[in-house]
Amino acid sequence: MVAGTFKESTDWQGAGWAFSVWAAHFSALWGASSAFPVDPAARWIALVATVLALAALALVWRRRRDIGGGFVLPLALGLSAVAILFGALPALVG
Amino acid sequence: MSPPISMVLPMTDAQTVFDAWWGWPPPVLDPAGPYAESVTVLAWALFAMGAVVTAIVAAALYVALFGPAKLKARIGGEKTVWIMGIAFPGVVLLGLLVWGLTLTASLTDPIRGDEQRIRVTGHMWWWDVEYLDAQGRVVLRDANEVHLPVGRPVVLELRSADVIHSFWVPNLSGKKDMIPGRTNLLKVQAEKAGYFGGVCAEYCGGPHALMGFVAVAHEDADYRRFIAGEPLGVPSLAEQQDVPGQLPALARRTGAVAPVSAQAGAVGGALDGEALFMANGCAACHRVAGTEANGLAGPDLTHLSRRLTLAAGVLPNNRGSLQGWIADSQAIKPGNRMPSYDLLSAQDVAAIAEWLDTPR
Amino acid sequence: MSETGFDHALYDRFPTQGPRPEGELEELERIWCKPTGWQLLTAVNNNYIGIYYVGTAFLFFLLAGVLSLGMRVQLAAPMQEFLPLETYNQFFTMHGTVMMFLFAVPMVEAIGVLLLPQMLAARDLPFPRLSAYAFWAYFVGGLLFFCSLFVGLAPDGGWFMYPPLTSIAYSPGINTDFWLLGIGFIEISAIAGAIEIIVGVLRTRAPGMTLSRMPIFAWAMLVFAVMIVVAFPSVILGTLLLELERAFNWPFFDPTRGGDPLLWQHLFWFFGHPEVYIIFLPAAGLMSMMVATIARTELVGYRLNVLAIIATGFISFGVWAHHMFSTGMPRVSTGYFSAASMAVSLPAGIQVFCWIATLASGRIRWSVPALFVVGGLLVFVMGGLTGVMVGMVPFDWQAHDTYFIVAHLHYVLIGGMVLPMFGAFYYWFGMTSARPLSERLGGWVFWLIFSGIHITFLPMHLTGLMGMPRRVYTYLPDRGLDLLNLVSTVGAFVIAAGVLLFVVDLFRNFRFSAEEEAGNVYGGGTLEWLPTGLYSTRSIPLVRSREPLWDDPGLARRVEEGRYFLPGSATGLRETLITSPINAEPQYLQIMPGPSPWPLAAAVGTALHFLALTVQAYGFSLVCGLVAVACVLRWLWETDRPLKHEEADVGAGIVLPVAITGPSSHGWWALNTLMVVMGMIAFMAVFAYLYLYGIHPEVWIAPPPLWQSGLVAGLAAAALGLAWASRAVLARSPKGVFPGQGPWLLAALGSGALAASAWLNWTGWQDAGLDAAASGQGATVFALAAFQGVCAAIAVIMAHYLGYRSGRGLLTGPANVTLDIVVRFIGYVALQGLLTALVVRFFPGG
Repeated sequence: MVAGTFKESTDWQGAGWAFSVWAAHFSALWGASSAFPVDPAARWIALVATVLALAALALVWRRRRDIGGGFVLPLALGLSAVAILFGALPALVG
Repeated sequence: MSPPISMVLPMTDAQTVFDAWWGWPPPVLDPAGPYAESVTVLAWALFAMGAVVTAIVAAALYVALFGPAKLKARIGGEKTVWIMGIAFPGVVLLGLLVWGLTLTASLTDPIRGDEQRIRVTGHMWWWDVEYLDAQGRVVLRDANEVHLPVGRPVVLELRSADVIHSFWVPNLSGKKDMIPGRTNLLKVQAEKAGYFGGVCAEYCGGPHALMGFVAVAHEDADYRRFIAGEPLGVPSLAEQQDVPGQLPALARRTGAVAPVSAQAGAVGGALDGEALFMANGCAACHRVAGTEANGLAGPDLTHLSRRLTLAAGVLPNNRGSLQGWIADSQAIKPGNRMPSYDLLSAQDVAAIAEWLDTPR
Repeated sequence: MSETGFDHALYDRFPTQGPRPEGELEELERIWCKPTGWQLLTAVNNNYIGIYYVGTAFLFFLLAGVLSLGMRVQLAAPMQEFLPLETYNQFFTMHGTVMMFLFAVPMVEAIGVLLLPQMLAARDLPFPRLSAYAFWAYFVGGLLFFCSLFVGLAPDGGWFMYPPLTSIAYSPGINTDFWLLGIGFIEISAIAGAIEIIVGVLRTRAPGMTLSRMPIFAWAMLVFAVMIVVAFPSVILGTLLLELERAFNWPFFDPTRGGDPLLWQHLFWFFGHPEVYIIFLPAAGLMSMMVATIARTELVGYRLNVLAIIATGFISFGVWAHHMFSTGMPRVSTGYFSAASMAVSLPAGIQVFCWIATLASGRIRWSVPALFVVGGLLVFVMGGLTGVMVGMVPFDWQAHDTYFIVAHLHYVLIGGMVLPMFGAFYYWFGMTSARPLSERLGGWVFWLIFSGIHITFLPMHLTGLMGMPRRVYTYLPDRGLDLLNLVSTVGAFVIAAGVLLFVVDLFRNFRFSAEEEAGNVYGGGTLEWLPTGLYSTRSIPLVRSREPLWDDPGLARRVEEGRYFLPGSATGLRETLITSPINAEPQYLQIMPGPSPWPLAAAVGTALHFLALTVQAYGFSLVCGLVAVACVLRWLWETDRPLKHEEADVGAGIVLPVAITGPSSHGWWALNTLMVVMGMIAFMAVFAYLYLYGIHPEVWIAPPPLWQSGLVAGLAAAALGLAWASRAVLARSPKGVFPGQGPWLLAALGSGALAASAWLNWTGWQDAGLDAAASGQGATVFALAAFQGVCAAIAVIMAHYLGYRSGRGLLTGPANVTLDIVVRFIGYVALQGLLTALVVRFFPGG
């Protein structure tokens, strides 16, 4: 692969942001379930955190979609969203 | 191997104790109650998933390495990764996750309060078992066996007296840790009478490998007799003079399994056994209800005559192994907290064993 | 459009034309001369340190493997007496500990040290002496630690060291202290290596090597190193707390006094599970590199693969408590960890199918590395699938702590790390040896190891389901376990035969050489296959693609002719090009330190310091500690020296500054990384504090009075201000002019304020009636205060070092690297003190 320019075209930092949102979401959920092990409050916090996290992913997309790099940012946001939704399931199903 | 000991409980037919514990079929896949059964179903589904995915990967790999060019070209691109590496596992994992979560919820259904309560406390390296009434009073104290009523839920209150242990009877449910400073609750239920092997699953130092127990599920009437402390129809130890065939290695090592009849010696009779028990300091650690022996550091020996095993699931309980255990417990279970009483004469050991054998 | 203001049009000047000056290459060879005799001990060049490092790690692999054979003999039949139980317990503890801490992590780090500079076409890693220190600390510390086995003092609490089994009540001997101090110390060495790798990957790439053109191994090592920086502080803190509990009776893990045994499990597994990926990712990077060469095509899904590596780096931090499902944690919590355990499988799937697709898209050339790559992939997939199984909470309740898990983890780690490692040995052997390894014997090695794995570990799935727990020194007969265990034992010896055959081949064919090496046996396309000497490549190429050697066949020749950057030495010293983190634009020339005995001396001093602590020779320990500090300062002394050149021509008339200061300098980046490490330690300590409050709030007492907290915070804030002022005063001084003693005095005053703040914080809690030995609150508060005190003491030492340099007139305006580092450290410690003191004094409010 011989690319012409010497400028990075992929938004790798955006991927970092996407997964940072997952990390924050995970911390919020685990923190809540540890602080309120039997209280339904933990579930409500989890649901609110999930909505906020998805909104944050959308924000990352709005802010960075023009930087370029093809599927990397959308896929990073997608993987992060899947992990966030997986993470929200225990508050709904469990 | 030598013939099994014939310790027939009322509710079993020819089933033998040691045979029933482990072995085939694997107890994880041989559930005896609802808290294990649903996990067995899950386990088979997971094995199937594992086999199918392994086959898919192996097939893809085979095509990639040796396949015809046309097939190779079809999987030799990023599309393969999107479909096989992202979409397919994503769907499978989502399904598994939902199953796992709902199953976890159903296995940890709330305690209703009318279950049989049993408090099990892990010690290095044995189990203190207390049967509680609804108010939490101890109605029976026993060790190294957990007796359950068939068809009724039981809540085990799991605690530890020293380090972390883990209570596991694979036929009945998954394991739960016994953690100092905490009480963990584990709900189990046996749907059929029988013997189920249990072990300590968390490494607890020293002879952790030899920290087992037996779970025994009884029909209701038998269970009431057990709680009342009545004999269970187990042949008394005195009648079981045969050397246990199960443990030739242990037998060789202890060298004391050929039982000595107490009556044959100068000292005989149950009364002398009690005196020897007290005089040699056994009472400092062991309790025998109705006597002065009230130690709490070791297993309660009140109902030793009813026990199936000695040394926490290691030796079959009979006169010979009991004498061997008293004389040389360190050779059988190295590092355990009971010293070998190898200075006692064979007659003294026999007398103590005979006294302990007395049904109470 | 440029990241640094560097004009990309300047790249058009390469390759340069015309003859190179006489003697340029000879000068390069003289500067990077080969060490001989005793100099081999003072060498700091990555070719040497890398080989020492790989060799030592492999030695530990063999040693831990021998332990496993002992264990398998003991378990070959029920109630065997081959190993007494005390020995067996030490064996399995040491097997796990040595494999994880002394083999796996050091091995991947070592491969990084050996390969990265060449892959990135840097002359060396950015801190060669730090690599040397990290290696020697690991070498001396690791061997001493292993020797505890020969005197029966090896740890026996399992590699996970759960208290209270490892507390003083149940493990009174010094065996446990060997583990805590030995491993804590080796972790420090791993962190030093990680800092080196982060800065190396981000700042020493060849010009033009943008992030997307990095060899995928460099990506993996970058994420690996960041994960180490985040994860290892947790276990370092854990070992410190447990050692404090053992030595001073501070009850972190004692539930009778407001501690909790599960706190250890959280701290340990927060490190322990990312650790698995820390081991796997670099090996996966090696796989990706080898797959491309084997299939003779570029990696399919490069960006997918990089994304998978990044995703794994994050999500693997959300799975630690799946080791704790059976501890009785809240059901919803188990769900979160189960969900993350499922999610983390996705990136692994991406990587596996990237490899398969690559193999399908190219034309396979069969070779020993190819065998190991394909075998590793299969074994890893099987281990990953059992991993999905045990990620399910209900199934884990059954499988946890049984031989099913033993099977699972060995499949994952052998398939994910050991087999790729063997493949990499064959693949990159030509880089360091004059003769390649034998392809014929290699086939035997592979098939023996590969079949041995399945013979050993496949039956263990079944023994686990049959109820055989882990960590048992024996099992009872007549439970159906005899035959399966015997098969496993046979398999272990089959693996051992394969490894032995490899060692034989190693002795036959390993001839160390950095110049006359066997070379690119398998036809790789990345920069490490350029012709090299100890100075790495003659000139540093301009990188235009991911596999420059495939895309530009003339590149090697032109590099060798010196037609690119730095064709000789611009300053007459060891040097490398520092480039920008994203686009790799040339920024400045770094002068590199050469061989030195001080890293070795400092490492021996540090190792003896910890060893003496273990055997409770406190006086000797103190002396060794001081010697180590003195050696470190001595080695640093030479690294910030006045320069003859301020600018240098790095080739084609491009002039770059030499050794800059400030936020673009590589030292600044390293310090920031170190601050992340310290911040993580403080963060985990605050977590411990809050966690214990959540479990046992009843033992909490009221904090000291408000005015005192204000004073503690005020002193810390003053330190922050003084540190800032110190730098500002120096900045007013004109270039090269000595500003007098003002700057260092301000820094010293700042460090004094830090010490006063820490002291006041400590005594204030004492006056408030808090006793470290009395409660979980006391233990955690004083642990935080002690950590702050140690940091303040280091700041004081650094300020004095700065003063000494100032006294010699070495601090000149307007900026100085040493001063930058010292005042930045003081500023960080001030912030850390401020935050930690305020958290424990105001939350949860007493």
